[in-house]
Amino acid sequence: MKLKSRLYAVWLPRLILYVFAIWCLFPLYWIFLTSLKTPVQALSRPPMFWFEPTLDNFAKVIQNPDIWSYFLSSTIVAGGSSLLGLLIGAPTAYILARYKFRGRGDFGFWLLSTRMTPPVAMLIPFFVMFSWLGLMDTHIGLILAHVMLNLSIVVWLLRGFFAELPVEIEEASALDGDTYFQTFWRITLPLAMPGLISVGILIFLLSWNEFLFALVLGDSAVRTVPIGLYSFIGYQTIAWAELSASATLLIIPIIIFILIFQRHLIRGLTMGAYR
Amino acid sequence: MTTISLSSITKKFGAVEALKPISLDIPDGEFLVLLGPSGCGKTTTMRIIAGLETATSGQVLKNGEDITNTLPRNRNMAMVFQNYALYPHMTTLDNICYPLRARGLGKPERQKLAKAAAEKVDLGPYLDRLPKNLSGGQRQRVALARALVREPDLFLMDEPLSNLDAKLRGHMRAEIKRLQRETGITTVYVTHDQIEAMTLADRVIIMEQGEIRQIGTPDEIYDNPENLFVAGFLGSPPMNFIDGSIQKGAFESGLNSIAVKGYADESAVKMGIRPEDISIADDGDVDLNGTVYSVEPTGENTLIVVAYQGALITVKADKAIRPDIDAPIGLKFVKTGLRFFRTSDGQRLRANQ
Repeated sequence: MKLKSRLYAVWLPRLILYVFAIWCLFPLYWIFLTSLKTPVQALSRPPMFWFEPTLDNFAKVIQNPDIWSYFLSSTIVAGGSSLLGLLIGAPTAYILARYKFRGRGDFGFWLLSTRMTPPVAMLIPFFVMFSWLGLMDTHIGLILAHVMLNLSIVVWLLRGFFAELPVEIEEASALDGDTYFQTFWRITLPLAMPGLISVGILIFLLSWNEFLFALVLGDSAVRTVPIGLYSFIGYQTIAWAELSASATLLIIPIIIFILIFQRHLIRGLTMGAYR
Repeated sequence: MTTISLSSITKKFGAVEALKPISLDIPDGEFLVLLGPSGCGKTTTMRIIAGLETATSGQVLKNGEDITNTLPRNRNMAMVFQNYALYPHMTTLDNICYPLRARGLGKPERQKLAKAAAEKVDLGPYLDRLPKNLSGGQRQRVALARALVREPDLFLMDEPLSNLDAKLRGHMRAEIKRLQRETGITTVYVTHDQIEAMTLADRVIIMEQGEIRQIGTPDEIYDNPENLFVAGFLGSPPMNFIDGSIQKGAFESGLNSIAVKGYADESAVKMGIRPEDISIADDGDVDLNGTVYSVEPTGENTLIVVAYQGALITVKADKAIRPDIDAPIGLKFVKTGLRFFRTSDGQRLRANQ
């Protein structure tokens, strides 16, 4: 009886998680494996799991200066858009969480509605606007576009974090002589730090992986990682082995980034649960 | 020198009338306690004084100056919150320093004042700790020190002791009273605990449903409640009430008749008497005949609950008295302890001399 309940409570969920983890990780494993193959091995059928690994692809990719420019572009765009997104989104979320004013609900919903259209529908207007403004093919342009795409997420998630902070702490700071902004800056923001970090990571990744706007608005001048990888898919051939090697290299910084902030990420995502 | 006046303050939350027009004057140096059950408007009143809530109508005056629309930060009032509201990301010292920051004092001076305030509430060894590493009582002291440090015009305390255990509560109560006496700073204190109100206050305001029911010194409101609510709210065990009527100078309640002088006839009356004003009659001189319903020894004395005409009357008797359950018992009242209230509106009836 005890064995049976333990089976259901512990091992069954664990088994499901293992299967799910394999399902998620297998593509990553496959990319890594392919990056160690020769071009011929990469295309072999049935697929090869055992072979003599080679680092030729990595050597070739590292020597290609384009790879580094993809990486740099992505870092600028993703970093810039997450910082700007937080800079605009955090005060907005705070006001929506704390202050009552006419149209508060409508304003929040309007922000959310920017996420309801498929992004591709907004691409043409953006293209036209950016052409007029001379923002085509610039980092700034792509940063602004990504902020637009992600701002509603920032505001809605942070609004939840701010709403959960005890309001008495802010009232205490008001009585202690702080202005509204001082309260926000010295008290609320430090307390919302886990939330800010996890939301920041989330929009950083969304921007890092964004393809469509980067393709159209960045064009040839600003090539982010997803666009750069796409260039390995040529008119006649797909350089699978080199593509995989580049992809492997470009995943590494993201993994390191996540590992550093993992503690904050988990704390931020579960903040509401145990408070 | 700080006096506070509220004149005809009202507060509505949507359609809910949280405060009906309230007016009161707080003289300099007074320890004023707002007492009442939850939802009676006492916390709202305090928050309006602090400026955390805006009154729907009426005026708040500080030293005669209208501060109704002044921001909290410009009122120079310090508040101790029920959950302490310490800044969780700051150490004890930084928490206590914080109110001084807004006044443009240099860091060394801030720390000097903060350390002095911390010393006053015995926080010396804990200056470097974060609030999460302090016990409930220590957090309470940090909140007090943070309020003390800048010598505010007014102390506001919103149920500051309700999160502490009983023993610590008694201790902190004494400390708060002493600190207030030492500093002489006008204090408004909100509580639902009548013991806190009685022990701390110079004056108590009893509130119910957004209205002031009585204002007075602890003795006044205990000895001379103006209405049924105040009479029933104070005292532990509370005042006993017996339904009856006053006819021709006597209180009639069915079985027994008690001579009361000077009261006009009234058809529906509640007679109130405190448990300590009743004794067990050991001779024939009996005011009321009942039966023993239950006997509750408290260690200090014995509470005897007596059934009479469908009502239960609690008597505080000597600890040696242990009557049998269901035995008939005769009670005797201290005549000066009798209070009469009109049943219809709960107002006190007074004898015309």
